[in-house]
Amino acid sequence: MQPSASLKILWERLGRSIALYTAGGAWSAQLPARLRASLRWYYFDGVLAASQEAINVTYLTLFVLALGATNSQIGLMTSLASLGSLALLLPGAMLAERSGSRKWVVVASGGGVTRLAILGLAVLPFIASGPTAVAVAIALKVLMDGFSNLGNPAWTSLTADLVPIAWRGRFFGNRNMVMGAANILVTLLAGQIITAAPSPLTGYQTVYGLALLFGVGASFCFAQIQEPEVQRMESANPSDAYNLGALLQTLRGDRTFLYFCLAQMVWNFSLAVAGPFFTVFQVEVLKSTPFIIGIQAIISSISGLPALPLFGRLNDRWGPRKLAIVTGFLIPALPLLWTVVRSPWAPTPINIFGGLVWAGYGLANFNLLLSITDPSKRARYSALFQMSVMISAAVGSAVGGLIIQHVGYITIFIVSGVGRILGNILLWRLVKPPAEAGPTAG
Amino acid sequence: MSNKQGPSTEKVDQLVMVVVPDEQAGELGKKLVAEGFRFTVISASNGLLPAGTSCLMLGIDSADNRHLMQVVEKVCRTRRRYIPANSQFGVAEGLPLNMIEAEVGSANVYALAVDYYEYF
Repeated sequence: MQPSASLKILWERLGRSIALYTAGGAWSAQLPARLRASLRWYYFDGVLAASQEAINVTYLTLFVLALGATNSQIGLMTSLASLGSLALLLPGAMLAERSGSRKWVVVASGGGVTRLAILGLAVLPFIASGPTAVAVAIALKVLMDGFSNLGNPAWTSLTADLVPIAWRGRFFGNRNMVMGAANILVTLLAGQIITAAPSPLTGYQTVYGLALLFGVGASFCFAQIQEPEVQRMESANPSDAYNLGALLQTLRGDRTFLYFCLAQMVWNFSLAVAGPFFTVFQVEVLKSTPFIIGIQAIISSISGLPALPLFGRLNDRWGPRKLAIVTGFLIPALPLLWTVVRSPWAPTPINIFGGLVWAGYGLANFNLLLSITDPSKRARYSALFQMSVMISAAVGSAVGGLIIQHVGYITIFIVSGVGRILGNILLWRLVKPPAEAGPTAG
Repeated sequence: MSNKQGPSTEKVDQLVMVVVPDEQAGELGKKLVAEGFRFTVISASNGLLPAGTSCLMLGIDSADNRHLMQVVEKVCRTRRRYIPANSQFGVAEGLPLNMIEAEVGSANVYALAVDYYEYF
């Protein structure tokens, strides 16, 4: 055979493999070509969006600090972003339910507004400086989180109709793995760009320009999806889930869930009181470069992966409540360990340990929520849970921002650790063992 | 799994092939060993990134087929679970993940008659 002919065959095989893999795997060959193409666009949307978020999640706080933000303003930014997300929960559910096209809700909100805000951040140092630039950056962060949340119910509903339930495990397994790899590569690349840039602001502007390219690419891919017919919504009328009277009635009528929300509020308040300041602490006290901070974020994410199968088995053996309580008593050690950190690389073992225990806690907590809620009212319970998380996170960040100027990092880390212990004690003592019901996460 | 030396005298008249997702192969293997079955595992898909499948090949006495099927059914029955709909990388600690309902667990089982079996 001619070398050119074998190269052509090799090329065609490679093309077929990539086409099948990006549609979710070899199993997708059995699907109609149009659906396969949509899954492929959805796949690329995820990878590009993960690349954008790698920059935005890891480096936004550093960018706002470089613009001149104080600790109070960092706390305020996180707090307002949580409130913005909370305010758009109900409109998001209503849009998903009433809009003619869920795809365009996602493209316009999580895609359009969010990416315009990223463009705004990229050009911000050209048009403003000092307190004005900080105020605009905070407003853009609030817009980003709020509109991302606005599009989330439509995204979830479209996803459920697009990806066949029998193949979701493999589809998301493949997609999430490549999203994670993209996240790592882009975090490293962005850290290098910022560290090597002639000035920090130039570096942040460059990586936000890159984030914009990824984001626009993601929106383009999502816009190519052939929107499937609405097959089912999580409840007959999702916006009912956010009806205030019904929410209060649910809380009054379900003591276990009320206690669960109370424990979660104390827990999330304690997380948020210190959460925004670990990055600031690394910059101001440990003198870490953006590259080192990026690597620390990657270490934390990667270290949870090998532990997930173990925690999945423990979840099955112990039940979600016991696993949540055990990991919940390990997590308070994290902020307490930060009090003894004195050099840029010293947080490495803390991040490894944190990645491990958070993987277990995240899995157990979600399963605990499922096991204590009535499946027929899950949308309403989920709304209450999200609201309790967002309210307590907003209050926690605001309080943290207000007091950190007076008490310093070490005190705030200790407060966070003690608060987490208290939240977990509430969960342990008040939330009684639930009857196993419904599907679990794993 | 066996410590026997030399040719086997045990009765093997059926070859059972169980094709399962990789994430179930480990648990199924452990259960099979605990129940006294021996098997060979072959990766049924290649590549670094795709979630793969494994093929467990078991030579059994056909009288044990029902017992084997009970073990496979127990481990691999299809059930619903919530799985992360997005990568967990880059999510701030404490924030709930975007989860979506999925069916997990499956097995394709093929049983073939064995004309001849030898173990060395």
